[in-house]
Amino acid sequence: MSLPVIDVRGLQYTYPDGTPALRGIDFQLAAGESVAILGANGSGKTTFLLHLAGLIRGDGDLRIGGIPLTDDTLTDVRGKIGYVFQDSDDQLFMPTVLEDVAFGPLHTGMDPAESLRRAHEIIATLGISHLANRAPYHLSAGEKKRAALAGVLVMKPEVLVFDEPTTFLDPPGQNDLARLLSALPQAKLIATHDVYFARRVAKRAVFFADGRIAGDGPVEAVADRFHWRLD
Amino acid sequence: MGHSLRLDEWARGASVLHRLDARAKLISVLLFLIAVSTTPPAAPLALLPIAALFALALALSALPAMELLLRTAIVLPFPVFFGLISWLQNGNSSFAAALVARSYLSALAVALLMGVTPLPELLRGLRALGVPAVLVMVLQSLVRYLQLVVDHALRMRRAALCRDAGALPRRNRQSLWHRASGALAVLFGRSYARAEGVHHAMLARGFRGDFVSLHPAAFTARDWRFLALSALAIALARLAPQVAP
Repeated sequence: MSLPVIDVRGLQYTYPDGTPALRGIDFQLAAGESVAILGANGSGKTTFLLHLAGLIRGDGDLRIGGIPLTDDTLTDVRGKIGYVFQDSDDQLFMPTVLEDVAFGPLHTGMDPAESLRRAHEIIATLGISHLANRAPYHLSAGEKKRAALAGVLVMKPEVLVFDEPTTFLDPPGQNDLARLLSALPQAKLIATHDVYFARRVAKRAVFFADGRIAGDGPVEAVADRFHWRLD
Repeated sequence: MGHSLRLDEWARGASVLHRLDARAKLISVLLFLIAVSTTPPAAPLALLPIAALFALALALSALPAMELLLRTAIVLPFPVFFGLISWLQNGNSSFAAALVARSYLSALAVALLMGVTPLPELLRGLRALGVPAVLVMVLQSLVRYLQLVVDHALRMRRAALCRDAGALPRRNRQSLWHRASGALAVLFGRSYARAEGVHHAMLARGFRGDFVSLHPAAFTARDWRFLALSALAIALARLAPQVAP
């Protein structure tokens, strides 16, 4: 059996104000696997995801693509994780979509011409070439999400991490995103409140409660067990 | 917000000024501002040749002149206020008029620069002229996130109006100030959270403190010619009133 692309053991984190956020997380994600993360607000989902990109650091062992996460390996690890933030406005900080997509390659040492070539290639793949020279704040929520995803995919990550990807999206936008995610070959970790969306993009789900993984299994079974549906 | 979006739209034009390197335009505007600010403080007519130069640049830019003049008039209340104070204190109307004219002309020059130069090029120009990377990045983030903060502020205002139908402030001025200060604190908190989110996003995509430019700029012979001509014209416009009989 191949090594998991994400291997987390005993992860614990307490916020600076003393609030415990993660209380010993053990989690593995296989290559190409998609897992939905369900759980109430404040259950630790986002804190867990931020750990995977080394954006906050707790206690425990984290290995991304076989590389242990340390200060020395931070750049390599971030090259393997593609993090799509909940609010695309956080992620789209450059003046134009093209420049934003090229930001990652450019800042990981690629020369400008190659960065631009890859940026053009990925926005063409995602069908947003017509937005290349638009300012991000002119875009619709769906277009912003695609632009943010392009900025992540251009780095060719092994794992894609999505934090509440359907926030701000209308139903057609959610459908569009679900189709797009299902077509991507990378392993995916998707934190969401939407069980229907989770079912479309993942077979397995983990349920976070009070900083722990309280359940792990097929999406339907986990949602049933924790009554995670609308009445 | 509408103003900056309109400038963005204008900046995508194709006039002779649009096609110039941002550095040439930045230096020219800097010289223009120096000329404006060094005119005699009580001689508004000395600004006429400089204003004529601005009119020529405006014509070359092919921007809608009246709209630019009106939109830039947003800066006028401040110099008019200080001009009035000065007039009331010293009784010198020429000084007040020159103060207003200089402020307006300076604002027009900056608005014209932004109207003929896309923001990314303007920032690259600043960087190429030796402005520290961190300052350029702060400027870029400021322009970018000013839009989001204004959006936040508008949403908060709508939410407040929905709850008291706008009646409360009219009845109670103290309550207005109390609410405004509370809203500012919330806005600051949200802006801080936004900044943290952006910083996380930058780190997650490989940012390590140095800002790399995608387009190395090229300063051509045309830019040199423009710079030399504009410097000469600005110097003549500035000195003409002093040598005139």
